[in-house]
Amino acid sequence: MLEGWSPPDKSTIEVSVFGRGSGESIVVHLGDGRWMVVDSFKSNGVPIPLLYLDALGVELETSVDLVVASHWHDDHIQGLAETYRRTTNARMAFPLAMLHDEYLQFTAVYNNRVPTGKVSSGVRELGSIMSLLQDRKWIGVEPADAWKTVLRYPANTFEHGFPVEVEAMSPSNFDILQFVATLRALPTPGDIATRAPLYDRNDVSCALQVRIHDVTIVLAADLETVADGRSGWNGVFAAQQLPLQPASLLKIPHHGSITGDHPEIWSRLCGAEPVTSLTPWARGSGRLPQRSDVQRINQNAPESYAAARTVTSGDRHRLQAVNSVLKRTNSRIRNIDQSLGHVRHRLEPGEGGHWRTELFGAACELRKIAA
Amino acid sequence: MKTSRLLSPVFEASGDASSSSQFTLLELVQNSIEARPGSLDAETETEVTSLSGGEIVEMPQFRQIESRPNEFFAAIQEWEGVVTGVYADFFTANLYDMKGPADEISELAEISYDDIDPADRHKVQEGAIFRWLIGHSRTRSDTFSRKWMIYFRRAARRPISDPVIELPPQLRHMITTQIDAE
Repeated sequence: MLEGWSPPDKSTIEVSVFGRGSGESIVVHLGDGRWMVVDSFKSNGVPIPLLYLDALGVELETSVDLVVASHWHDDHIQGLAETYRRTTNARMAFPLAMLHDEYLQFTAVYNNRVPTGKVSSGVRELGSIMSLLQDRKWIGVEPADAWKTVLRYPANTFEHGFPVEVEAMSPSNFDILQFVATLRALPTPGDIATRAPLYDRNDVSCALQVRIHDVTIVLAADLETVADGRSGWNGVFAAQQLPLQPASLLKIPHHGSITGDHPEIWSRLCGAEPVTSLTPWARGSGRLPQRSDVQRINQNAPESYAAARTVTSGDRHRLQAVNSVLKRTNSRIRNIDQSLGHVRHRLEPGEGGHWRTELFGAACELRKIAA
Repeated sequence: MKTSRLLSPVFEASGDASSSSQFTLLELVQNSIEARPGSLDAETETEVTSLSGGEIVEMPQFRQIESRPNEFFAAIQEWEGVVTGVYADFFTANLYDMKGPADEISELAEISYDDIDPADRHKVQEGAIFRWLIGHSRTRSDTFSRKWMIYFRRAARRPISDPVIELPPQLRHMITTQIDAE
């Protein structure tokens, strides 16, 4: 729990973006104590959405209406099954492709190949969500693809009086087909224990827009721009179904990478100078955002934030004996920064106001991130 | 008559260790000892034994001695790792501290091929799961040294235990119609 957390007023819209060295989770207050969760990571074994909502005193069983798995990569999904298990009345949305036979079979194969240890198969979390859905007779399942509404409240449901709509902007049918074809073409796994192969293209990510009267929020997941005009952001902008009201708040796609960007994000999807947030990412020797990403984003959105200041830190305490052995190897180790950060955006709808942003823990202004 | 058998050194970095995927190296060593109580490292004396046919033969009398591996290894740091990238001189990996929570990456590594058994080089592939142990070893002659080993794990061969996911017909029809009809 981070110091300073407090629940929003009934009519206040809140978008909370949580991050760490590598991990992304978003919690949204829609009004009147109704919440939605997009993605999860864990801190000391606890799913971040549960850590936050429990700290605010939110009754998980009755107050969370929607849980979304934007895609199945580790930095977005760890702890989401536990989150969904505790939010018994929530609808569960994830990319439609994850219900295809090919994906279910892929999940079963890899869940049974990975030996016991600290590393999971890479598909276990979504598999656990499927099992929960099956236990719940698939009530509330929302297979998401482009332009499907996954949650809707009519006007006057909430104290702020406005209708609420949550709509998937992706993945496109083309991307779903590509994904299924990729799974079909995977070779039979060998004798070495391997995690489920990563589908590195993020074009089956489910980007969302949340509309509350004149407020549009875009939660862009890890959607990327690829050459094909039917895929990723190109697929979104080809659809001509963009929100009537440009977004005033954007969760930056794909940790701020250049591949997550698209010129029309700034010229069509968002209004002038939107407020933005991102979460950092690291894998192997790669990390995001890079310095050039920070500059590019700040040029388009001067008011931008990062949910964590650093990806790696050099101050992990290790036994001297371990360090002395590491020095004798030709290998190099970098510590993941485990400090939790939280960017909290709040707004009163219908007043044409500006987002009020507060930073907690390791969060910082984007220009101050250690890129 | 004198026989001797030395336990194979299990300390050396080898993919063979991965065949017992549930164990740390230390456990492997301990199991190895347990599996050989009173090894036939025989300091023998002869004994006269009478068989049923009345024939007298000389049987060696085995004296049980405590067996010890040539080298004893105790891990003080253990990670499980996943290969995330394969390059010319090294591979990158996410590391998970075995004393930390599951599924939470603790460190990122660039591991040189110089630091793994050359026989394991072909096992370095994206997604491969390995263990990296750092610790100290002590030989029979009481030589102490600090060492590391990296070994790649074999795929589990357990029967499918997860519940089989079966979509209700209506949902299944909707999915297949939308995807496969394209």
